[in-house]
Amino acid sequence: MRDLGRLDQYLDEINEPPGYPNGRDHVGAMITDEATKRRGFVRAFTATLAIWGLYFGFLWPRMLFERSDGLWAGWRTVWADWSVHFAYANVFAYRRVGDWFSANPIFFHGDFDYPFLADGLSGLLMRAGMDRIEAFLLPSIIASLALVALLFSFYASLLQSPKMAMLACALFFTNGGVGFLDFAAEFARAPSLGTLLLPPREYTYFPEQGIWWINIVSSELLPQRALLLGIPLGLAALIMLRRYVESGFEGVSRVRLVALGAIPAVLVITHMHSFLAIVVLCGVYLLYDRRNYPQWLTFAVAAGLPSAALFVLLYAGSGAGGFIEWYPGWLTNPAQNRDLSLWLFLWLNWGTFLPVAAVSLIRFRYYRDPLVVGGVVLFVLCFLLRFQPNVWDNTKLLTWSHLLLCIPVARYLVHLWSKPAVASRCVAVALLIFTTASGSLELLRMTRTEAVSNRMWSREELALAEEFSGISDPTALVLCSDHHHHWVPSLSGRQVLLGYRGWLASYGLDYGPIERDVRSMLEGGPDAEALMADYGVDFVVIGTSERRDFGANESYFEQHHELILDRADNKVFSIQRERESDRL
Amino acid sequence: MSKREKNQAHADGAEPYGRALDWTEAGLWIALLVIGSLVALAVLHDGEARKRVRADAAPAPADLIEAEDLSVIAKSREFSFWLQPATGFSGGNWSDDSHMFAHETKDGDWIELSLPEQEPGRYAIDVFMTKAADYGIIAVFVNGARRGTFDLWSGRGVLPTGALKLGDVDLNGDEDVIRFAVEGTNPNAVSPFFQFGIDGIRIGKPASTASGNAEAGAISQASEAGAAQGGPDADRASTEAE
Repeated sequence: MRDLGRLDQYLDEINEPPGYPNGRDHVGAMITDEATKRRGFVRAFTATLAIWGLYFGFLWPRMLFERSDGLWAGWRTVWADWSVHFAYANVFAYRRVGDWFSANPIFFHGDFDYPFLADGLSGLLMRAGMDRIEAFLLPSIIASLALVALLFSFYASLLQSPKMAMLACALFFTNGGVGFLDFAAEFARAPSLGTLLLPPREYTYFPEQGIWWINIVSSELLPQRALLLGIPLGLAALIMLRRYVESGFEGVSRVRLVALGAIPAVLVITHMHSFLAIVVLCGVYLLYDRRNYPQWLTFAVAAGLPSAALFVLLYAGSGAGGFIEWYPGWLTNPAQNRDLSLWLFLWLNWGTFLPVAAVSLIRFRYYRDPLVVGGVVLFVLCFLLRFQPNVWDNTKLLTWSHLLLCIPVARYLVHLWSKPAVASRCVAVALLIFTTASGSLELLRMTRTEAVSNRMWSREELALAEEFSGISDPTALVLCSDHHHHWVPSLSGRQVLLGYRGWLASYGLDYGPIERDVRSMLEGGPDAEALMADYGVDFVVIGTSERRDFGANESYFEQHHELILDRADNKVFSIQRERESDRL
Repeated sequence: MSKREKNQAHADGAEPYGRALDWTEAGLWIALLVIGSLVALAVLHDGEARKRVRADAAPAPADLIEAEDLSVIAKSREFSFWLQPATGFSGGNWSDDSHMFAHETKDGDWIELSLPEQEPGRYAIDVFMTKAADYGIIAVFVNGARRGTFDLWSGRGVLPTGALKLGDVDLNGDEDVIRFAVEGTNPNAVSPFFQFGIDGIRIGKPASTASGNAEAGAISQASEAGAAQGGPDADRASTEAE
C-alpha cells in the first residue's frame, strides 16, 4: 500500500525530465531504481551480518572456556574484567530478590550502583539453570549480532549507500593507530608465515610509546559487557530519532516519542557512558532542529523523568565521587607523565583516521549533520574532561565518537576510490590500510586462543567455590583478600568486605577505612574479634593472597575459629557457627 | 571530465574539478602518509629503545622490604594508598613491578607505616620512592625524628628514585614507625601536586661514617637514582633536587 501511495505521489510530481519520453516510463525507472536499491541494501546487510557474525560467532566461544585444569579466558581483557562481571551476575543468580541491591558485591560499605542489566541477564540465566559459561556467552553473541545489524542500518541510513555502510562497519571494528608499522618493520626484518598468522604482540596497545586507543573489539566489546549491550540500545534510539527528524516528526505521535524515551532510561541501568553519549548527541541534534522543539521537549521529558528516577535509585548515595572533572589533553595531560605532545598522540593513536574525517567533514559538508558534529563534540569533550576516576575510561565515550566519525571517513574513502585518477585509487587503498591495519592485526591475534588465553581459576578453586556455596548462605559475609580473581565473589557469589582495590578506585570509592579493618582482622590483631562482630563476618578465607597481601595470621584463626574447609591452599574458617552457638 | 565523472562528482557533493587537482590531493595524502610513517616509526623505535633501557637498568634491590608489606598504622585523614602496578612506567625498575601509591593527598597529609620487627639497635635505612610530575615534597620521619625531605617532582616521566638515604637510625626492634608527610610541592609540579609513591624500604647495617646524610630541613634528592635503578633519566634525577 505504501508503494502505491508513493507511485501516486510520483505521478503528481512528474516534470518530464530529459531522457524519459513520458512520465510513466520515468516512474517505472524510479521504481526499478528503488527495487535495485533495496536489493543492494539487503545484499550488503546480509554480507555484513555474515562476515562479522561469523567472526563474532567464531570468537565468542573462545573467550571463555573450560579445560581439564580450570576455567580460561581467551583474551587478556576478558581475563581482566570478567571476574567482576561474574561477581555482579552472581548477585542475580544466587541471592534472594530482596537482597539484590542491598550491597555492592565487591564492597560491603557501598550500594550496588553498577549498571547491572547485562550482568543481571546473565545472572538470571544462571538462576534458571544455565551453565555459567553459556549464560555469559549467549547474551554476548546476541548483543554482537544486534550491534552489527543496527550498526549497518545506522550507517546505511546516514550514508545512503550499502557499500559505504559496509565499509563504515569495517572501519568501526578495526580501529587502531599506527602500531602496524612496527609489525611491518618486524616482518620486513624477518618475514615468516608464523608472524603473519600470529602477530607477535598487540599493535593497538603500546603503552610505552603512548598508543592507548586500543582496538574496540579488544578493549571495549569483549570485556565490557555493559557497553556491548549499551551501544545497540543507543543505536536503536538514534535510528528512530533520525527517522522522526527526517520526516519532520510528521505522523509521530506523542505515544511513540514517550516509548522512544524508554531507551535512554534503560541505558541508565545498562551503560552510563552510552547514556551520556545519547544525551550529548540529542543536545546537538536539537540545536540543528530547533523548529521541532516541542517534539524534542516531549522526548526529553519522556526520557528524562524515568532516567532521573533510575539514576537516583541506582546511584544516589553511592559514595562514588570525582566522576567528571576538567582534564585537558586526556592521556597527554601533564599529570599522566607521558611527555607526549597532543598532536603526536593523536597521530600515533588515530593515524590517518582523523585527518580523513576532518577533510571529509568540510568537503561533504558534514558540519551540517548533527550526528557527525555530535561525534566531533564527544571527541573534543573526551580531550577536555575526565569522566571517570580512571582517565583511560574516556575511551567508552570515544567509542561513540569513533562510531560517528566512521561516517565521513567511509564517505571520503569511497569518494577517492570512485575517481578516475589512478593515484586517487592508490591513495584510497593506502588510507584504508593505514586506518584498519593495526585493528585487523588485533582481530586476527584475538582468534589465536591457544597463544593468548589465560587461566582465570584452577579446577581446585572451582570445586572449592562450589563446595563453599553449598555450605554458606547466599548473603554470607566473607573476610578475604581483595585479589583480582578471588574465587569468593566471582565464583561462590558471596559478599566480600573488600574487592579488588583497582576497581574500587576506578569507581571513585573511598575504601581506605575498610581496607584498614580488613588488614586488622586478617592479622588477628587485638580488635579483630570486635571488628568481625561489628561487620557481621560469617567466614574467613586464608589463602596465598591473604598471607601475601594482608599478612593474614593463620595460626590465630586456627586457634580461635573452626576450620571447615581446607583445599587448594585455601583455609575457610567459620565465624558464623560460633556466633550462632554463642547466641544459643 | 566525462559526463559520468561530472555526475559522480556532483553526486559526491563536491564541485567538479580537474584531474590535476585529483593528483594534487593524492600527492598531499601521500606526503602525509610518508612523513607520518617516518615519524611513527621513529617514535615506535624510540619506545623500543626505552624498553631496552629499562630491561638493561639495574634491577630493584633484592633485599627491599616491599611497601605493600608494611602495615598502615595511621593516616592524617582517609586517602587512597594502594598497590599500583609499575609495568606501564618505562623509566626504570620497581621492586615487584609495583609501588604503593598515595592518591588524593593534600598538603600536610601523612601516613605512618609499621617497620618490621628487628633486633633493637642501630641501622642504616634507605627508602625507595617514585618521582613524577604531579608528586609532592615528602618528609620522612622515623620514630618521630625527621630523617630527610625529598622533592619527588620529575619533569621526565615516572621514575624510581633509587635509594634515598635516611642515615643511621636507632630502632626499638618493635613498634618502630616510619612516617611520610607531604610538605608542599615543587613549583613545576602539576595537578594534583601532592601525590607520592613508595616502592620499599631497606634496613641494613649502619654506615661507619657519621649519622644521617639527610638531616632535618634540607631538601635532598635521589642521589643514587641513576646508579641504583637506571632509566634514561637517571642522570638528571639528582639535578632535579632543589
